[in-house]
Amino acid sequence: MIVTRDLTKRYGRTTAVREVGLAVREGDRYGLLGPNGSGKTTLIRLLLGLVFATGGDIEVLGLPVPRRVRDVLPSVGALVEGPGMYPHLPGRTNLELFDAAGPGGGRRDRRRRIGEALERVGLAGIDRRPVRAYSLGMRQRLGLAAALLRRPRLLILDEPTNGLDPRGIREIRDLLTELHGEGTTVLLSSHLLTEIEAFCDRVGVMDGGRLVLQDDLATLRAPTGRVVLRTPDADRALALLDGRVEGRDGDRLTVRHRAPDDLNAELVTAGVRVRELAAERRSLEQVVLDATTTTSADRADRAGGDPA
Amino acid sequence: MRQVTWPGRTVVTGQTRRRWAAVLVVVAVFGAVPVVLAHRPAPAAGLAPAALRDRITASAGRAYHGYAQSAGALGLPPLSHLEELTALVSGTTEMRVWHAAADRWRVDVLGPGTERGLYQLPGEQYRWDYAESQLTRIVGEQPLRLPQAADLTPPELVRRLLRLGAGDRLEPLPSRRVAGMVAAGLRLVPAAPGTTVAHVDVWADPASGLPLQAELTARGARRPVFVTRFLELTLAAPDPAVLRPPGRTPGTGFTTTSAADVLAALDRWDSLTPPDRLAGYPRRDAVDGVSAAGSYGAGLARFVAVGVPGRLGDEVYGTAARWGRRLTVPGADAVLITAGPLSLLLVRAGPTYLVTGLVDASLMQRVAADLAGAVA
Amino acid sequence: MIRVELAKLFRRPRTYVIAGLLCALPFIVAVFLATTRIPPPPGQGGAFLSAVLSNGALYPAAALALVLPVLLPVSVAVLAGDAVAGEAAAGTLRYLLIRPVGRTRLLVAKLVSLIAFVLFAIVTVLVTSYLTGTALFGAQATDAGVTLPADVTSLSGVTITPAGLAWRLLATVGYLTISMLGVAAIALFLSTVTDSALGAAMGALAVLVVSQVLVTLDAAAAVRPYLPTRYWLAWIDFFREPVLWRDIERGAALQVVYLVVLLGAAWANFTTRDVTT
Repeated sequence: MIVTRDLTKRYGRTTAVREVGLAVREGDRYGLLGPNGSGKTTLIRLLLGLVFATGGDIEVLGLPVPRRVRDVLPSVGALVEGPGMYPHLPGRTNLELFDAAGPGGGRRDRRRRIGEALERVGLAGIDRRPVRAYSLGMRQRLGLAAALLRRPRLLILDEPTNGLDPRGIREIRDLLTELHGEGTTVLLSSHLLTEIEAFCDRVGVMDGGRLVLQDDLATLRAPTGRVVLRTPDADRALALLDGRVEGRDGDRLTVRHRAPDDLNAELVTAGVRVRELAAERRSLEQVVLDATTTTSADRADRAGGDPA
Repeated sequence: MRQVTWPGRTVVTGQTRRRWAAVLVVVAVFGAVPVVLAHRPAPAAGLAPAALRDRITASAGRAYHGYAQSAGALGLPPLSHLEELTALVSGTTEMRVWHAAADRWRVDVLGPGTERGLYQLPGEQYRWDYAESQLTRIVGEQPLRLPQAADLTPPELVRRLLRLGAGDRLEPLPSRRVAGMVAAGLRLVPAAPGTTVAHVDVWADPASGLPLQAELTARGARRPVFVTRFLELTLAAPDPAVLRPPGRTPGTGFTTTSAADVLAALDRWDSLTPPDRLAGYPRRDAVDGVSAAGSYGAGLARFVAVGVPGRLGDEVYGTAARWGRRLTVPGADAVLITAGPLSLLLVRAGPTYLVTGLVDASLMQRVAADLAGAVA
Repeated sequence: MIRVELAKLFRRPRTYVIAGLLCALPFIVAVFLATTRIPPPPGQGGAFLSAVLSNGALYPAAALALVLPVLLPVSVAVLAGDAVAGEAAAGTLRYLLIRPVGRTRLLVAKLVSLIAFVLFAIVTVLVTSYLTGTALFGAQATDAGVTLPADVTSLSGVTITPAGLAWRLLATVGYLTISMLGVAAIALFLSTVTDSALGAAMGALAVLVVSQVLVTLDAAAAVRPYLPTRYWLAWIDFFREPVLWRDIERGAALQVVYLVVLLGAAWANFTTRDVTT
């Protein structure tokens, strides 16, 4: 769906995006994670043809961007840096205007499509108040509705849950899951780990303009080959598993062992009581911190003479 | 999150450059069109200056209509009662001209949001002034009057100057385009002593002889001090409807007069006839049978003296004294205003005399002395 | 896209506020003139103002002369300066572009909606000032029972028939609209350069003020024919008899040149510019 190669964007002397090779596959729930200012928004603007790259290639839906961006965008729904609406007009009118502005928005079913989109984002009951009077969350939902108007194949959402309360965040996540189930590929950017972790199956981590990590969440969180064991008989277990225990913290032992089930059988056979036993997995937070720490050190090295 | 710095080279930089180049080409083309049009070479007319002058003189009966502009840089101060005249030689005057015959024409002087029209009919004139909302009918011939805008259209001015400088030397000038026509040029170099005119350049349509442009250059000056030219011209008779003066309407004023201006009114004072001789030149009546104004001198160095009576004379002298240079003349007050080639002398010796012409200061000094002496 | 822009224009209260302001000036002037009956000296003040006291039907022309020099160009500059920069500031520009709306199409649609605004504003001024003029300065009834104003005198002193007045006013509307093209193009171009609507409007107004100053300066005579405001007053020539087309033609041609060049510049700049708001 989205492929970029060596994508670089410089604004004057600052490099916002540096040699990014993004790969979003059809059907992905892709999470673009990174702190504010790490280049996520610039990357999304590049994908949508709003800003132009200094170097590298972009391909969206199999077509080069920005050259064929006009053929790409009708199949893309996007939310970039918060919703943009005409504040003096009601939400419905805003959607009508945006729908009428471009291609692919048939006039006859416009009313129906707008109604459906509003219903999906939970705004079916909006009145004729101008957008100016909306809460931040309502605007966010309206922006999402605008992105959904024409059933896009690809949704690119930049911080879609900004300004929403926990219940709203949950609703949006359910909506995205539903859309994904209908075959929509979703690229979601956020600086919130939990949000990405809750929805995405593939993660890219941006830091200082670089895509420092990109992998399936399952791979990132694959078992580490160690098992975490809690037992009241820690000393006996230690004696039993002599040499394979890598760490002990009270009644909590970290054991190098590939199969927790075998380990469990072994312990139980030996009469060691097991309170908890699980294969160890890295948390996403750990993954991100590991990935970004290295680049932080890297940036410190270059701080004196950035070649850009 | 607006970046204040300009982006560096991007994947669309080439496109940007090509587009800007296209825009610059368009600008260059649009900019070049008027320049090229103005500097198209004009083919030589192959007409000797004397022959061209003869054609100009013979063109008096030609009908034409067009748009003319005169621009003077004489910087003459606005003298009381003569403001219209001083504005003519000190600024730009836009005129629409319709000329069917010598006694059937119309000249409109255009201003921003105003208009003054002069309609010449056989035996009478109508003058329309939009600003005053006033229609004036002027009956009878006007033998003596102030110069007006209609006298400054190229045909009128050129014929007058050529008549004055009848014996002067003529030189050929290269052709140029005036009002879209190729005009043949000639230069009149006056020989008369005391003149301040270096040369008068004239361009005329070689076929019809109609003068299209005249430039008057003062001695010692590099650029012409007075230019009159057609910007648009059609060599055809104007629509008769255009020459019909406006009718009286309820909202506008209407008067009938026999004296067109202040100078015509002066004609009534016979006692103010200027002296018979000034600076060694005999007086010729400026207009036959009118003695209030006397004309002296030869060629382009001709000057005119007018006696201005009583309070009017004092007023004109008063404003002139604010602007001009005092001359020391025994027995009279004298003020000389020089504006480019034009000299304007006012002498108050009992009556006030106004003397003007394209003559130099030393000649005017002698005139002032003679006037003071004549009255004394 | 043009329909969308027009909808945006006429659904915006701002449009009516500006048009109302444009109508208010002639109305205020008319009230003062009608109550005091002191006309400005002829040739000074607004064109035709001295004539309207006897002639209410000429008031639309006087009203146009009143709004033309400042109010109309200022409102056009404000709206045109806001055209792209305002969308950028409101965050709607990016959503239009990813809708997708072609950037060139967007510029053209913006220009068309500006022209529509100028037409709307001028026609509003014409209608309100005609009503004001005939109500305050008088009209006369014909035998057909139709209320017609007193005969209107042209600048050349010839009476203009009601039909003649109608076509002259319509031509004036057209010419003024064309005259505003230059301002609109300048502000629209600046609007694509900066994200500040105010900056773009101020830039365009600065150009106009410089132009207005240079038009009156004899030392700048060489550049005068190229100044955008040089032929603004040429619409008065419609009220000469016969109509003087010279300046009107030149004025229209000049505005078209400004429009082509600046719209071209806006296009060259905007189509490949980063949209970062």
